Amino acid sequence: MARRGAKRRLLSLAAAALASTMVLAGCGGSGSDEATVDANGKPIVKILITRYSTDVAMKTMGWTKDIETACDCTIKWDDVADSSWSQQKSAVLASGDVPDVSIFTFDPTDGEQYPYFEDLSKHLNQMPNVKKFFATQTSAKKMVADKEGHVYVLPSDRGENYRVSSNHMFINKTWLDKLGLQMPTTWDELTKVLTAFKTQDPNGNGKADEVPFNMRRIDTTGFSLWNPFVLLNSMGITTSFAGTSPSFQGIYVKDGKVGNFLESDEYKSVVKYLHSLMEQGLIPADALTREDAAITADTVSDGKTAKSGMIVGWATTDFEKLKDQYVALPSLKATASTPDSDVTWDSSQDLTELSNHAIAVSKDAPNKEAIYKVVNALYGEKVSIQQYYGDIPEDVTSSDNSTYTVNDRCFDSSTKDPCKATADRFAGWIPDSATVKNDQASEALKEADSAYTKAFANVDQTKDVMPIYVRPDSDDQTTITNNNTAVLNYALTKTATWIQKGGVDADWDAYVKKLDSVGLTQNVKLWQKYYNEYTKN
Amino acid sequence: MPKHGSFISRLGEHFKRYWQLWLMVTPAICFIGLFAYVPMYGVQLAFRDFVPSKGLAGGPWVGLKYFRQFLESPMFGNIMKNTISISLWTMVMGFIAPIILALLINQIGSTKVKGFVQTITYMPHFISTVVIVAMINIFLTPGTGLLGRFLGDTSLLGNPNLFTPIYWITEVWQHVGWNSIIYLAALSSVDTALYEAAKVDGARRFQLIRYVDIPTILPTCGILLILNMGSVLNVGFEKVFLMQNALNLSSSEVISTYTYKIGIVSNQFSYSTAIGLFNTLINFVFLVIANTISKRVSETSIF
Repeated sequence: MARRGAKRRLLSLAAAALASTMVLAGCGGSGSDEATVDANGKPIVKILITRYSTDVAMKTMGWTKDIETACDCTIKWDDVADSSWSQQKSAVLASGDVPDVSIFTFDPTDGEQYPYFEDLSKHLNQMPNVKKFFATQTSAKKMVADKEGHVYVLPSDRGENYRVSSNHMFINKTWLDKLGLQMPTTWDELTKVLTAFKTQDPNGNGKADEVPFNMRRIDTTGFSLWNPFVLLNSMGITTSFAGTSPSFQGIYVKDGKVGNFLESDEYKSVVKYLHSLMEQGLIPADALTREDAAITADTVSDGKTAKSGMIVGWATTDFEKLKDQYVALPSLKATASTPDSDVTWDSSQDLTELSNHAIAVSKDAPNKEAIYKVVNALYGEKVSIQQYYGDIPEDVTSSDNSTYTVNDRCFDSSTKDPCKATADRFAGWIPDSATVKNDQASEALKEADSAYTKAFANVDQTKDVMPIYVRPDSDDQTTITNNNTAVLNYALTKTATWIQKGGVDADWDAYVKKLDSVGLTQNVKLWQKYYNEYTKN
Repeated sequence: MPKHGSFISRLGEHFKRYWQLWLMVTPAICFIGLFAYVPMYGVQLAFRDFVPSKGLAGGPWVGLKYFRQFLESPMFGNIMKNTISISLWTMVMGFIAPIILALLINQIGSTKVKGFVQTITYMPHFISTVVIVAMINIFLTPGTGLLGRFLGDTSLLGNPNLFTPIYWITEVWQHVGWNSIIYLAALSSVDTALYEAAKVDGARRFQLIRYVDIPTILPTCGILLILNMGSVLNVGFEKVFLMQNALNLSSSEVISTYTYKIGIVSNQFSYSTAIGLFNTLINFVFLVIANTISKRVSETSIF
């Protein structure tokens, strides 16, 4: 008897062990049996949105009720912080368990590479607002559609208020006036101004704590926003340092011909110039290893005594309390003899205004009809405004049909009651017919941008800039990425060394040869192929 | 029952006698099986063109394509050189330092002082990598840093030749105290009679260490060396990645950071699996070599 009892115990223990492993194995499973209708029989739409971690919760935003009314459904918001999403994304794509609806999460390349997403171009008739958007903003549609015209991810458009460059140079006007200096127009003049900043104590605190050119360090992955190589525009290479632009890997276009500035003479000149600045102590000696926090600290200083003479940045708001001291510095000429018509400026307008990864819908999502209604509502004018700026009437007042005034509170970072908006994480379209007043963020940008009007006149938006809708297919994209890892790894190290120690002339030929051998030439050819393909009509 | 029965009956006999023991290890076996062996199914990714929609076994078989791609990549030589130099330096110094520290601590007479020194030396082990790297950055900041103020106007982190030393010195500093604990434990098992006998024979302090302490901890050293060898190329990803900048990239790109850039950032799962597998193979070779040497030299081995 005792033996049988032991056997039974053994069996139950084994069963328990088995069950526990099954529980462990079951952890990764998706809960596909969840209800798709709520208690009142209304369809449930689940939307995942990636957020800045400090934002207010989605469900507290007033405009979300408007969408629920429009679709006659219940929306379940899933707010995911940026930092955690970047870790999850690859895993989600590999597992195929994509959210029903997702905002600011996937881009068109994901849509083409992975067969999980609904082709939204087939449903434009169910989404008249999106249809109208595509008809009005043709480059928005081209930006997301693949060669066969499928659209897996809808773009968003924050309107003409943001049709500006992402990069601007700012110089301390108060210092210039105090030292009796003119705005520099060439590199040589800039050097003189920066030298004066360094030696003549323009902030008047008796200490030599001025940082003449508060330069950002060079990223290890490429040319990101606000890097000093915007100086390439002084010699006619139009950069486009923002978002998904291939400019970050050195690709540029001039008169319809694609090139890579990493091996251009213009690049060499900029490197030489930056080295000369560093040699004279006009760029911090540790500029290439400095943390972002140190750069910001020098930019905003203590809010009273300015420390930076010049930066490459976004808008004067970068300087916070000191913003009145700074003005945008127009694109410089390389030398006094450079013809005016050669000077351009960073052209990233489309990338600033449009985003190509606004909203995607899963192929297997339940309640598709309700989802299309939701998407349509999101792209309506009033909802778009509210998504971007905040609730009407608490945060934005709407005086007549298409004029909106944003509350001052929305731009006060210290307020305890921020405006209920998703800002650039929105999925919507603010048409040019809508007028948005008191958008202080865009006003600062536009003011900065106005300094570059002359330079922009020299840029042909198709012939001198890689249009945002040019996208290699996924095989070529893989080749390009693999080459880039090698190209940038070598080129950026070299560049950083040259800026620090000089010696660019001696190394140049070997450097160019090496870049070609690790794939730079192949990449230029591929980009040229796609440029031709996308711009021929 | 015959003593040398068939295999099955012997097995039956074995389980009859030892089933309690087997039952006890069942959860552990399940755990290891589930989390260490089942995922190995994914290794085949390295030999296939992974198509997510078709699942792990779905894509076309491409054989050694990705291994060839890695070996022929212009980055290969440099990455291997960096990985090996960083990891060998870290391993050798990280292996020797705790032994020396343990021998020194063991010489301290007062238990209070001994405890204090131990606590102080193992504390940094509990600081997270991100914080450690931030601290390194701050220490080396020219002008204001604890060390940086004496070292010229550029940060040492910008010098590619110094990347490896900075890496292993900080690594040793962080973990030396913690890793010496196991040696201290081994040393505590020394029979005090041995010390007495050696002293009677006229041994001085250094001779005590040489003829009593070191032989005592030698087997522990052997085992730990073999275990460390198995992960010689697994240079920690976070620390290297956080310490990277455009100036030191030429000596700081290692297998793990490259795998991250290729695999996670560029979504090339097959390629990065191949690189990871390559890494594991090399680790395995190192492990076997270390084990063979250790077996010959000190008759200590793990297999």
